Amino acid sequence: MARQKAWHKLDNTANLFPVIAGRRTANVFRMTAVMHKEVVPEYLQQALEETLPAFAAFSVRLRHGLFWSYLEQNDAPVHIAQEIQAPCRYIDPLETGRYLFRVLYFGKRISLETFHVLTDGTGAMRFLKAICYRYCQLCDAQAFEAQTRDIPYGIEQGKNVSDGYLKNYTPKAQKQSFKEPRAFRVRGEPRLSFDLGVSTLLFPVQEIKTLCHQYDASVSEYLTAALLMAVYEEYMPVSGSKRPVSVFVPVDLRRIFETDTSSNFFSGFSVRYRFSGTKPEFTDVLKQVQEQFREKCTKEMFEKKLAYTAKSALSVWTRVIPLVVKNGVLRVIYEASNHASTLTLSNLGPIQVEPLFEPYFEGFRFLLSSTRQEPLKCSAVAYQDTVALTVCSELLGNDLARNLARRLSGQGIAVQVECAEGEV
Amino acid sequence: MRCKACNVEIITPAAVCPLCGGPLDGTGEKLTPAYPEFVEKRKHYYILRRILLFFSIAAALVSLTANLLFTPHIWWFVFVFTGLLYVWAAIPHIFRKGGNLGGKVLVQVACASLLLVLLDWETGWRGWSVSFALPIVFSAGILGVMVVIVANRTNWARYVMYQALLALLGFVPPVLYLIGAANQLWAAFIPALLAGINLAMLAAFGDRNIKNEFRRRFHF
Repeated sequence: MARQKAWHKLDNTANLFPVIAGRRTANVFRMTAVMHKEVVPEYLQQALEETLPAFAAFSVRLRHGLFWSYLEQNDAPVHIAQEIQAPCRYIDPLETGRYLFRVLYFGKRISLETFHVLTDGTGAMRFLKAICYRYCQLCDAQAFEAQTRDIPYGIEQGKNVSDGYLKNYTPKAQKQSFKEPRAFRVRGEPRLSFDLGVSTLLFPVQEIKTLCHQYDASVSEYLTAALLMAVYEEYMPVSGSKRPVSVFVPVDLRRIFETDTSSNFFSGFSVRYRFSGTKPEFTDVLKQVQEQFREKCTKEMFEKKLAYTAKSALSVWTRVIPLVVKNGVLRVIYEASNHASTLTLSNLGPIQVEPLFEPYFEGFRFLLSSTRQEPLKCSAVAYQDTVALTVCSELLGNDLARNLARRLSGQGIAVQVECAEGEV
Repeated sequence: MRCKACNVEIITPAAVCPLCGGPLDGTGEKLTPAYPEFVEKRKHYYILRRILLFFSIAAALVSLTANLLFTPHIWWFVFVFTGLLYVWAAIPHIFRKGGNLGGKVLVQVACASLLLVLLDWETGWRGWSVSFALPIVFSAGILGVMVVIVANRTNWARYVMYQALLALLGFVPPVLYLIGAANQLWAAFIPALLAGINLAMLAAFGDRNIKNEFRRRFHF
């Protein structure tokens, strides 16, 4: 008899993504590893084929049951592709052999684009690193010794797809609904090609740390405040809106709770600032941002959020409603409540690479797809001594990236800019 | 290359500063691009579908106008609307790529049932829909999914959820008869018989594959 197919349930946040995903709201993020040498497609293909089986979160297809969707083991052949299209496009399962990710190469770059239903940034980064390690071993075989040439690196948690949300749900935690006020929404002309514009600012870790130290703030806090100011300066006066500007900051819960899953396990909080007529001092904004970080980025707050979402997912009534109805209701709830943030700042933090493979990597990039509510997305990742801060935008013009770049360079930080060609 | 206005270094090829559109100092000859020139993926433009959509809307408007002008005492435009609604709900689903054949049968059964009940109701509810039409549609659906399964035996598991759901539908006509909504005993029991045969098929031939598929599809 044929071997039975492995399957697992969607984690508690992933249930939303298949419902809202479409060409307009892709819910796809890209991680790029910039190598020192030109990518050899044949080795990359082999590396992907050999690494994929070790990652249970990725070797799946999405299927729909009567009550819930689920992820079922996918045995279809998997293919890398040359990058020829704009980043973070919607992943159509019919084009990818039902896989919900793609691996792309261009020049010295290896990119992994992931549909958020599979995992979050931390989980995807593990997969990308494991592919790259294997790729390096294949590419540069003579540089490795016999015992390090063939053993796989970086696949430790690949099989772990437990649901951190339900595992760390404490029924006793105080339940609290998190109703947020409607936030200012950036509007503008869409880009002519309707794809995603990407500008990456590269600057030294040490310089930004020194700068933040002067303000007595963390890098995330500083960047959040800089983003709030940038939105105010570039977009608020035109619209005359009185709504608060709100930056959503995703948080990796693996650092807070003791669950090292490779599925989604993140939450987040919104940092808000209500601008009035006159332009505030940057330090005032930063001070408020720091207060909100202290208040909202705590284990108790996340426990409450977990309890709130887990409770509704575990209730019998939610569970026995057919999927079609459930999806309809979810969609309505999402549309009605999807106005709490102006943009997102996702900071992946410093990336650690196995020391053995460090000579092969030049850097990393992290890109997020936009949504109607958040036409601008901001993401940061650091490798060795460089931060890569990326602004993804579906709007014409690079106002936000320019504002950030000028703020940083105005403070004496050496900023390098990396863009796709032919866009302004 | 450097943009003086932004005070930044541009490290990918560009004619002007990508941030502000200003001039750049230095030449970017040795720079390598970070992204390829994007090939725009065009959305398919289904001309036939658009023509059909246009004529559907036009037909709806013409029938509404003609009805109100010439025969305002009989509202026959309702039938035109119902027909168009059915066509646009049911037909595109058949041609949707990547769907499960069993699912397509189920959706067609659901759409046809709703259409027939609606037509019965619009013509003064004489009960023919629940007495005859629904049993016929449900029987056709059950037979349809059985044909699909026999034709594609190796992938039986893929269709079992729809087979089971259609079998459950097969028991609706007898219930309708028992509560007095339907009045044809023989019509009510044909779909129930077919559903029973389906369940027997599942019980007799279903292996571990089928059992696991049930577990996945019906987990809650």
